[in-house]
Amino acid sequence: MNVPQSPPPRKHRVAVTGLGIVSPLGRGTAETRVGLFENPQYCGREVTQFSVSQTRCKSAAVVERRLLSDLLPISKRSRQPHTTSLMMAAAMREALESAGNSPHPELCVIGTTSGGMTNGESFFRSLCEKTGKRLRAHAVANYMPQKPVMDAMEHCGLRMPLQLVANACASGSNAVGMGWNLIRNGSARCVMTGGYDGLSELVFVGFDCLHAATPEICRPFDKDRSGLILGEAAAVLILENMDDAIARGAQIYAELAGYGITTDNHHLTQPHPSGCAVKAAMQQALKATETPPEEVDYINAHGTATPFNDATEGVAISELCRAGVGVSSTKSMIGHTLGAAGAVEAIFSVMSLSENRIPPNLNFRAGDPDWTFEVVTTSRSAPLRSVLSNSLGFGGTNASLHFRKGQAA
Amino acid sequence: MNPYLIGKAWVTALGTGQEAFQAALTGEAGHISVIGSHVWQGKYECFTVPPEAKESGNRHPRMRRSSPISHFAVQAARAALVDAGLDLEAQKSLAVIFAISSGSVVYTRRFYEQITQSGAGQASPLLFPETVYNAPASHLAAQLDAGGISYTLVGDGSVGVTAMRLAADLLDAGDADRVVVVGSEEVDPVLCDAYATWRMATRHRRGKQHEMLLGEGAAAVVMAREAGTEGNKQGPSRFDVIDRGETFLRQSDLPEAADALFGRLQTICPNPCAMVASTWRDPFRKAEVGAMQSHFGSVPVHFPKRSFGETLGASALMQTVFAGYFLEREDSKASVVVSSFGFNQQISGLVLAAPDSAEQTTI
Repeated sequence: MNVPQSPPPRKHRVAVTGLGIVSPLGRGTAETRVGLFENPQYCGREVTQFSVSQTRCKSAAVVERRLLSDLLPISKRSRQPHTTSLMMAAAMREALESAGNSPHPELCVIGTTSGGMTNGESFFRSLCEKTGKRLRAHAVANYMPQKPVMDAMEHCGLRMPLQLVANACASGSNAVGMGWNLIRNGSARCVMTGGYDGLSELVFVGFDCLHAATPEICRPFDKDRSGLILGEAAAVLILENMDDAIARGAQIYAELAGYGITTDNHHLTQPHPSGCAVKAAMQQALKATETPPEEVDYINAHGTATPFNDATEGVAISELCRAGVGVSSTKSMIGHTLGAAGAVEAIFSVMSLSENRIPPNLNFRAGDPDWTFEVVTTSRSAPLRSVLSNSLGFGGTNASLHFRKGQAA
Repeated sequence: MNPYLIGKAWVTALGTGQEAFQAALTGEAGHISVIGSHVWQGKYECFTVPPEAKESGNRHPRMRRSSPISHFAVQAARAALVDAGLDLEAQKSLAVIFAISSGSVVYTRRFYEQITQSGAGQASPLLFPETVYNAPASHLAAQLDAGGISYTLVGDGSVGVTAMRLAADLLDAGDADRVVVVGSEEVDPVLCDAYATWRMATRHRRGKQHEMLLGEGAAAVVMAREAGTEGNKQGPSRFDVIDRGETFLRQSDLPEAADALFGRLQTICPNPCAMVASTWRDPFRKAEVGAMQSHFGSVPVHFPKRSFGETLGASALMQTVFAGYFLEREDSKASVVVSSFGFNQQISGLVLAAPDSAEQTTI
């Protein structure tokens, strides 16, 4: 059957018009700016939420609970909200306010890897120990990954369709990318995107038993790196059709210019050492605007500090981008926030563009001599035209986001 | 652009293929097992895939340690691609989308059991990677060498519709030519007990009229922009709409959300030949059936979940495969409404139409 070819749909430009974040650096973009550029610090501390007596890794970067206490009660319905609900509510509220509370997003796309995992843990322990029967119903109700987002939506007075992406550590970037696709292709005018994840014992022990977590400090791209530390965070971005944003006089924090997604089928937990899939994701992200790789001025790397990830990403960046391009992994400060990472680092990339500053890669001494990029070790000013933000995840998920300065049509 | 359903397959408690459909159509009950935990001595009935329906012989290295959810998913996806007339060795550019609710709960429970019973130092690194939500998608992509778009969506029972909606968006934008959408779920005592805690599932006694049994299995559909062109088998069905869905924050909001959803579906398809419903427990059943009757009157309604159980993330895909088989036996101008009501505050639906029915609108 011959089907008439319809013309390709018009591609729209996408503006970032709202930002909201809660991370180990603090609550809100103002605190985050200080932590990122002015007083960057390694946020890893000894874990106290559960026993780490039998794990190699003892530390994680957590959000201070006192930062979220003003949000209680989060809603009439949710009397004992999970920390992830509070983090999402804080991030969502800030993003909406920074977007001028207008327009109403049509759809919400959020990334996560473990949802309300600590509730699942509580439920399981309660079953095994035959205790806490009354708390089990609460644990079950708050385990599902969409619950923190629903709680946050209710807190902010929103109701809209919700998509949750669980592409492992690339979830946050994938969620932002999916929002970009919806607006670019004309399916939506305004989308709320982001990611969240909270610290949980199961995931902590999981990375530890794989020896992916370090008993020392996190040293992305360092030749003596020994693994990651986990973190927790929530980040929300409001994406809007660029023409609409300009017409209503919105503050445009950056343009989300491109998105690349590839799948690396090499191994469930390890990337192909050639870096081919990562490189392809970055190329795809630049292709939407035909931006030459030489124009990329900064890459916010996935940079988990595991031997395999950094080696692969290092090869990919060296092959694609110009020699001397600035690279840093902000996981050196806040750890790996899993499903939130891509969205958190998207916000860091936007802030870098607007400040013309590159955040540092802490704890770095020396890297692989074959790499051609510069690992930026102290925060510095730099004219930035284009920024790439990379995320790689278990299952071979790769995502890359291309940001450039917000500009009029 | 309305996408086509060019291939479909499922692995259910009733088996696979056309036989499973015939059994579901007549309301036959699928295979039921009693599963239990030695740790807390709980026992639960649930619908399970019978041994004869499980594919044997998939010796791909990725499947060696994978959980049932991955096995069901790969089996269903490969069968759907074959049903679509596609070469399994030539799918590098195939987009892969998964719909999951609980994920690999078997491995997650086993891993946490090791932590709590034996200590974190004894937790096995072989188990943890299989607990991630996108492990099944990764195993499928690896076997097909599909290196492009892959998404795993997680949600309640309506996540399957959301996944098909995402596929439609990709096709419409030209970001993919073909997409395989897979919903898969496995059962485990901890999952059964969680639903029993909310009195939504039964604990080791035959289901009462309004109690449900959880089920396992997978269903897959292959969606394409065009049917009948090179590489695509002539697709018998077309998606006239895949709704983005509604969220409701309180149960009291559910009737209003259901009314809004069915109102939109009715605009596209005012006279379906049948409906495929998703719920079998109040208050969801009351809201779903009530809204159906309000908008579509006495159109026959099918409840296939009574035959293969509440399969959560796989359920909407199973309902869609059921609808696809149903349309093959109906008038070539017929269409079917599929609705999906999830327990965690999300509902959605779609309209599947036979190829000769008038194309209603771009999706």
